[in-house]
Amino acid sequence: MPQIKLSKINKNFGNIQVLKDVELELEPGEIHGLVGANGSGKSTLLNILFGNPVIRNTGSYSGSILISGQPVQLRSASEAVRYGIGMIHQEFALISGLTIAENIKLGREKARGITEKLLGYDLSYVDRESNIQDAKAAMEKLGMEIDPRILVLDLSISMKQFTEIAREIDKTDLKLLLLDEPTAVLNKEDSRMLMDVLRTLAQKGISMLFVSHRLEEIMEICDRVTVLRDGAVISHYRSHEFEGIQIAQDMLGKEIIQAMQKKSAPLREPIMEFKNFGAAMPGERLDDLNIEIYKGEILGITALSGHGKLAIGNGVMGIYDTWGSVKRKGTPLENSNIREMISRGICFISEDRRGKGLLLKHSILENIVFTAMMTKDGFLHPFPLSDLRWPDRNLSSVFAAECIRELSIKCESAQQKVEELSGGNQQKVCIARALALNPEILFISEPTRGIDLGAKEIVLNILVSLNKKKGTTIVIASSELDELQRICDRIVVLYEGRVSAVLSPEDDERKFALALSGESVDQIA
Amino acid sequence: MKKLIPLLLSVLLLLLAAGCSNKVTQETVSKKTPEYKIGIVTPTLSASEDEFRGADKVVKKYPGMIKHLTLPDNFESEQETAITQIVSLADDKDMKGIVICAGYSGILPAIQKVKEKRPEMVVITAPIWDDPDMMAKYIDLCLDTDWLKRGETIPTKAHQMGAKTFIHYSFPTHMAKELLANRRDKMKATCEKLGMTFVDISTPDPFTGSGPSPMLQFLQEDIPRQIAKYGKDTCIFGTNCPMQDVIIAKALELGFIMAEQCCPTPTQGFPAAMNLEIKPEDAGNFDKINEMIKVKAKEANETGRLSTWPVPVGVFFPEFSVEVAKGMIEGSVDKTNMEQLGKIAKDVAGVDVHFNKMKPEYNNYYLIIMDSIIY
Amino acid sequence: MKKFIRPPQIIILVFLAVLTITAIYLHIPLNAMFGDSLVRLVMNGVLVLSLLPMLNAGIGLNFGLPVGVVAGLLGMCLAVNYHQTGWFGLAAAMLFSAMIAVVFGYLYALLLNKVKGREEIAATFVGFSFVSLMCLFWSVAPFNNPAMLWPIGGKGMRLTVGLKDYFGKVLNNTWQFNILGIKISLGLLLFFFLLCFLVYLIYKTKIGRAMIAVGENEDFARLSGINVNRVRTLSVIFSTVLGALGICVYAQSYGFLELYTAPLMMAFPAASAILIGGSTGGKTTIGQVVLGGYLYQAIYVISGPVANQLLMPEFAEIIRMLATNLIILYALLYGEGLRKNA
Repeated sequence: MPQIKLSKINKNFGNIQVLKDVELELEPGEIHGLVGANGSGKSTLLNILFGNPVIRNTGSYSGSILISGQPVQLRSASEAVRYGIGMIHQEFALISGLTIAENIKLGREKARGITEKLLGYDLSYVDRESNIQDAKAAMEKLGMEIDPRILVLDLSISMKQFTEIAREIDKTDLKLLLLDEPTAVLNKEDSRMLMDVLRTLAQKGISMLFVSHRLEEIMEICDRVTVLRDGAVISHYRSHEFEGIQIAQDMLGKEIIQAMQKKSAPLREPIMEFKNFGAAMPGERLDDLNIEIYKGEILGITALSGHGKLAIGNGVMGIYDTWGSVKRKGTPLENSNIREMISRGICFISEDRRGKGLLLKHSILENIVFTAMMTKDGFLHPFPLSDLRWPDRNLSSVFAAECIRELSIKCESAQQKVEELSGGNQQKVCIARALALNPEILFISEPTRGIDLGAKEIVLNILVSLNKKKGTTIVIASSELDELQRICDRIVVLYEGRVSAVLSPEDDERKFALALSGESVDQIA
Repeated sequence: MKKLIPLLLSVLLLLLAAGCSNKVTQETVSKKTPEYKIGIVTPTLSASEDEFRGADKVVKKYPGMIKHLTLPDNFESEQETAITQIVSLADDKDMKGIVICAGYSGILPAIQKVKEKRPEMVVITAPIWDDPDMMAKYIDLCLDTDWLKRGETIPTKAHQMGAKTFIHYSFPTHMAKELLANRRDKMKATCEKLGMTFVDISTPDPFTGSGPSPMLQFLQEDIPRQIAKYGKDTCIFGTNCPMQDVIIAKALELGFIMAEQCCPTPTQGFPAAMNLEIKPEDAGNFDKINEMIKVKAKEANETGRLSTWPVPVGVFFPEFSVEVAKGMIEGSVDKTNMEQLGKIAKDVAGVDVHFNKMKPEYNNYYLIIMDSIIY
Repeated sequence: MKKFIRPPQIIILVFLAVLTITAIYLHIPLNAMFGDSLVRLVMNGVLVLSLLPMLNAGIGLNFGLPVGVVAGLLGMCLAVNYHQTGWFGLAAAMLFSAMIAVVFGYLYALLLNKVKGREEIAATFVGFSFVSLMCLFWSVAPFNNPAMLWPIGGKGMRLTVGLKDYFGKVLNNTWQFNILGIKISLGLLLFFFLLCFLVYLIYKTKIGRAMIAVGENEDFARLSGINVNRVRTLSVIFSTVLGALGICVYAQSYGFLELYTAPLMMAFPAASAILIGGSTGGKTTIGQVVLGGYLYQAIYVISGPVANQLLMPEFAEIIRMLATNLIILYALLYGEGLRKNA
């Protein structure tokens, strides 16, 4: 008997049908891949299975769900949990003011026996130590050595993801685990570690529905794959039938063109120097960085998560405490002053797109011109008092239209709100905002995180052409090593917050592997 | 911005400094040594001006003899402090009398303690609001305004002033108070007896969140409506103090009758509504203030249509009580002799004051009604 | 318009319509009441408007409105103290008020910037304690115009000061005319809409855009080179100055200066009005200010007389309070729902 069986699932949001007659079944212990481009209905399907209130508030779904042969109605998350369904969210469902251990054991805390007997579970005295032990064990299963007493808000994004996963695998009655892009924020190493954990869990009879953009992972770990496109099931494959290109084409309904930079010898003219630079970004600490950035290059920075690659861009902008020195063309920079940074041609696009990179409730146009307006008085009518200048509608709409065309931002108009755009198009708006500043050096963190295959290539292409046409120096911090290898001139590999090696993209794969794990690359000639 | 702030601050300081150029100079008080002392307890100035100033006046009248104590600003939450303060008065051997003009409930325990320590101490309350039976038992002389009786006297006075309609403005919180509701009923009954129309109107409640502003705005809009409906020969009475400013201002504008405010005194409503310019040297001089009101009333063609008590009870009581206490201590006054009390009262107030027994069986608990002044 | 009128506003409009029909049925003169409601809109409207800058900067509802109000009262006291009358008196009062409000607003902002995330509750307490502090000040205030001093003690300020001989009703009486029995104060309305337009314009400028961005996403604003604390400070000063001007407009229309504890509750009707207008505690439009200000006051204007004729008067007052407060609660719940589903 299948662990869970869905038949004829239909779901509408208003007039739009987002799921059409979806059929799906999972055997016990099966890892089932669910793939599809953004907006194909994967997240909606998961929301139905986890009883997300959004589904009920928008008119519920039709069709039947059988768990171990029993028909069930999943009306709330707590009901789903009772049926043994656990979920790992794409956007974290963690309480940032609590510790790792408290998050993992939330609602299922171990209590001191006597108090539980006397007062009942709700009023019992929580056994803090044993909860911490449990949490530690759960994290160790994932290969993470971390003190569970650390507050979640101090964790890096990938460590938050592991905490979330640990919370689910710590549940003893788990039958079905829903994973919504669990590896989107993880690097390859961490992903691999997660894969191993998932396989062990599967052997214990837990079924898993695995949603991911990374086809190679899907092919590696899944027993079966279902491809969704526009809310309908396009195809099913068993593991022996897997073929990446076929699945990708099913997803997109078209062929993919990969971005590629033709290498040219970069000029060795430094335009920015880091000396003993460090930044105290929680969970991504960077220390002792000594590097020169050359004019006109694309510099890649990679590392396993938690090893400091994100701290460079954030540190330069002074979002976290920094030390050491940064020089721009020989003159030192006061790096806590963002205005000065921008006025000296340095621009930063944050990895936290929705949290720090966009004004979600504002239009595309306003987002694009905003920073230029604030720091350089761009797109404003002249007026003696800078604060009271008002926007020049013509200038800004011409520029926005140009960006929308050049970067192929898919939208109704420049007046559309940014929150209505997909992740990829939001990223393009972020880049357009940077373009409005006309930067000489662009720091960009995780430019392709959480956006779908097609959009990834467009974003990479934009960066390459920006570098080619305008000569903008670009520093990309990313965990997608293969992408960096395709477009960068040099790649800096960090380990535990320090430079482990500076490699050329053509270097031997084994060198990268060694550098990422902190070993000396000299072992390979 | 940083430069603007100090500049603005200094300009403000300058303005304020210019404003306070003529400060009141402190009078020096000639010192006489009296044989005994009387303590007088009132709320603070901000809680109740009348009682405070009344006590102040007596302090000046009998220099060195009167000790003026003020109760904590928020009496309800600091009752213990208040009790300690009052009891401490009894520690002074020379202290022979205590006068309490506070209008609070919960002071009786302090008096009981004082009486335990010093049974001979003369205690007069004017007023406090505890259980009347207990008060009559422990306190030498209890005085209060006859609030209920005013339900009869106000409409009667309005009738004499020519009113044909009597409008009573109030709101739920007040009407939930037994005394105020009873007074309203009494006003209604009196109006019926005298053949006047009684109109009861409810305003937005000032005690429920939004403060008095909605009530006052309502009055500003509603009074012209009612006067248009009932004509000028209408007397308007409001049960809440802030209402009086609006009522009197509208009376000057529309010409209706205002027989008495909720707290009858020339200093309530009139000064703000008439913009009375009372110079510091005239402050507290009620003859002068009454004269000013008369002039303003004449200017507005309202002669004979505005009235109140010539002296606020709050100012009257401290002085009157001290005089009585003095007499009792010196043995010249008998507290049960209402005629004698009336004479002292007339000397203090300048008009006749009528005393009534709170209950027939008490001979030490009196309620007063004062004769009015009609401007 | 679609965004403007949402269920809470519809319910209030229906409530208002029912009241109006009842008023017609009871032969209560509507034209006078309509005139009153317009006066009230402006009287309270500027105070409602004063909440907008802080809402837009993400600081929340300005429950510390008494700070601005006290600044306005001080300004007016100065004008009265120097015997300034008429138009000039009001202008002087407003100028003094604005100057004091800038100083108060700056200090108030320093405090609010230290309690980020808990501004509303902090502001409530600032407002309350400031009013108490001012009670102390009023009782010893060194003003010397005898029309403002205690009639018995001769020192310190009266509870209320009449403005009739100074600048009471100056705005109300400007360009006043009757049309269809409706008394309309064009000057008063023009002043209000001009002020609204001015605020609207400010939000079109660079600093205005920055204020809105800070309100929506502080991190983003900081990364865009905005000095977040400066913008927040300016927003608080802006709110405080508008609050000070608001009380000037209010007081000239009411005809009295109310000192001591009168400003204590001023923030709550204004907050109620802006919520009824459809603000959800975040970015708010001028339209919402005007709509909310009008609906809230119109209900007060009509419900009083209607209820007095219809039912037992005390009962009427209770019903009116219940209805308006429930609607505010509903508006809050509805706004909260919108925010969650967004």
